[in-house]
Amino acid sequence: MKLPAFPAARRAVPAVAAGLALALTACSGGASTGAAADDPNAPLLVWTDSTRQPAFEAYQKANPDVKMKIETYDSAALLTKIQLFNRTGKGWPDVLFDAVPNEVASLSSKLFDYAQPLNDLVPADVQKNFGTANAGCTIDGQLYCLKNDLAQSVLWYDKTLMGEFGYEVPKTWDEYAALGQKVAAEHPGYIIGTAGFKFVYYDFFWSSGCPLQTVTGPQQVKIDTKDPKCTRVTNLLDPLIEKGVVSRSGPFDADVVKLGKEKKILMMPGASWYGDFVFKPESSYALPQGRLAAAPYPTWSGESKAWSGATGGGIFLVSKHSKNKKGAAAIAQWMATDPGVQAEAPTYPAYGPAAEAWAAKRADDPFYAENPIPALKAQADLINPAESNTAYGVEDAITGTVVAKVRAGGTLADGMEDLQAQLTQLAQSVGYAVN
Amino acid sequence: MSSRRRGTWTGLLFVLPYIVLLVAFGLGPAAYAVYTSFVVSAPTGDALGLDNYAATLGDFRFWPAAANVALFLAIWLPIMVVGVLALALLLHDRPSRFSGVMRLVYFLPGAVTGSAGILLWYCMLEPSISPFGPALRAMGFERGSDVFADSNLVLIFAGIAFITGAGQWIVIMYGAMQNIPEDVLEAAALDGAGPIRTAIFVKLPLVSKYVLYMVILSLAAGLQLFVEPQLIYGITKTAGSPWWSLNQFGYALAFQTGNFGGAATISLILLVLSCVAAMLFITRTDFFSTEVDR
Repeated sequence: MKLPAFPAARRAVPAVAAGLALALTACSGGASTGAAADDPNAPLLVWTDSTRQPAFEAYQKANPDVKMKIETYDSAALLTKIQLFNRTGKGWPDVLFDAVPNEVASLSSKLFDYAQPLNDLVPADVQKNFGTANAGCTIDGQLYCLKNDLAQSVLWYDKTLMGEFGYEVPKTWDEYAALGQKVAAEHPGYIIGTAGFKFVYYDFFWSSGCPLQTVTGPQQVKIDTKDPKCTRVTNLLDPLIEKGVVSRSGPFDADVVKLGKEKKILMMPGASWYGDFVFKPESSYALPQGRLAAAPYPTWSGESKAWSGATGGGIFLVSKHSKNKKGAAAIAQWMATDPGVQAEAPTYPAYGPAAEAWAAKRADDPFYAENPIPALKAQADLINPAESNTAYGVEDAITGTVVAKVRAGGTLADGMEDLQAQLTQLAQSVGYAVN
Repeated sequence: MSSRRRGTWTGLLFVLPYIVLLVAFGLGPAAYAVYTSFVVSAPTGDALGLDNYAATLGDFRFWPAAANVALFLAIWLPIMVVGVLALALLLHDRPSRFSGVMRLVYFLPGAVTGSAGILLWYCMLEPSISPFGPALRAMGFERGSDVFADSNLVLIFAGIAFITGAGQWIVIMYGAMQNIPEDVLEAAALDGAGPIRTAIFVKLPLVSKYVLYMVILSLAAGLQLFVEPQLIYGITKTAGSPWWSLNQFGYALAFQTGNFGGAATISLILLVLSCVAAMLFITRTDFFSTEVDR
């Protein structure tokens, strides 16, 4: 309500934008099909976040002949922008870094019609070296993206505290729960994890293989919050939340940050990037040197493997509308696989050989009480393949149901029925069959 | 007759630029939305006729969003009307340098860009960063999620919308009161009316058309509530949802799932609601009646 005469104007922005987008459809011919031959000299538009920007610039420097334009973009508006480009028939970035890996399912769908299959554009041996890392990029047999980094979950813990309290690092979730009860009794005020943020999906439900996003075929998904693999998560966490040892807030909420600064976080199941980006920074938990360590993820009872979830892990995509697909794919491949670039990357590289170079650089970081690399490496191959990417986001439904219940003082179990209903409708609204 | 016709043409000339803009950015898109809502299919298949409307009304996100917006309006509109009028009357009662300063003070929050204003409000309400942190904690709000709990959101949005939006209307109401002839007020004073009686029985009836104008425009604006819930969810990542309000839901449909047909139905539902409300206000009151009609 900025201008009194047109108070509706400010709120009407999205409506107007939608209207314009629709009007533009009418004017533009359909999207280009990309059937034209590849032009190796065609200029390439690169969209990246600011973290990856210097690496793209390094590529430009090393390859001055390639005509590149590197731009940063607003991640929240990506799908909107692609929709608009589809309607105007131009403007797509040729190479895209996307920090939200789930979006590959949308971007490769008929509706968005953006992602170029890379099977023939990236050499087979390079594809092979990714191991299982590109699993989420492969949809209906086609490789639609290259994974930049892995966000496999590990069990972060404060080694100094563990020693002081005389506790053993848990190897199974049952041990984790038992230790939680002990902490609640012997050291109230300390926490062993958080549940009040959407990451509860990645850290626990995904790792357990709870079918929330289990893609069973093209446009088919299994959603079953009553599955024992779901209820074992709520059965594990709800009593610990009740006791206060698993926080009702999220890892970035002010009260958890305060606990971090007070060195009251005994353990925290979380992504591979928590060490450098959640525990280390001054503005975050600012844990002193020589305390933090990473352990392999605990195993769910009945499972033979210690499955991780995955909290993010960026991807590189190439536009199917690009006039220079080979050039675009070369940039994406270099960004994802170059050992020089990836060794300096802030997060755990998805590309096996680059991960070695990355690990070598970090093995003796004095911030860690012991080398975290073995745990990170062990979990890199153990991201639970049960969950996959879907053409609709699940995070908002997680936030609106189980997370909302926990934050408001209830239990995760309270929100499971709503979660089932919301995910089912979300899936159906974009044409998935739910089974 | 001829002079009357000339008057018509001059009038048309004056409103022509507005009509052009209205057609280009108002009626045109609205007509296209009507077309879209009946013809453009959802990503799930071929929607024709009323399919989009059925899908939208049956969506799990629609009715909660509608309830949120209704509750928002029920709280915000009365606050707007009473608050704006009360402050404008106070300003008008004792014209002085002080009231001039206060007029500016009331106007200032509205002069902050909408989105920036909301960020400002977030910072004031989040106990861990707010300068009023101790006061918030004293009232039992220990964490951000205590403040931004689902049950509080509608109050918070209504409060933000009032503070950022009231200023301009106070200035407009004050302007309207300035138009009240001095002799009318003098006559009222001679008849023994104090400031309160003058306000209620003389000033208010004379500015009632402006009040209606404010209610109609505010209702249309409130129905389209978007920025407040969108930004607060974007910042907190936990308070509300990307489909807390109807306009947000339409935005999510169009741009997250490419369902332009569904989004068009929402914008039309909003359009119909505000038009019906405006018609009711206009026909049930003497908003547009002139001396001749009476």
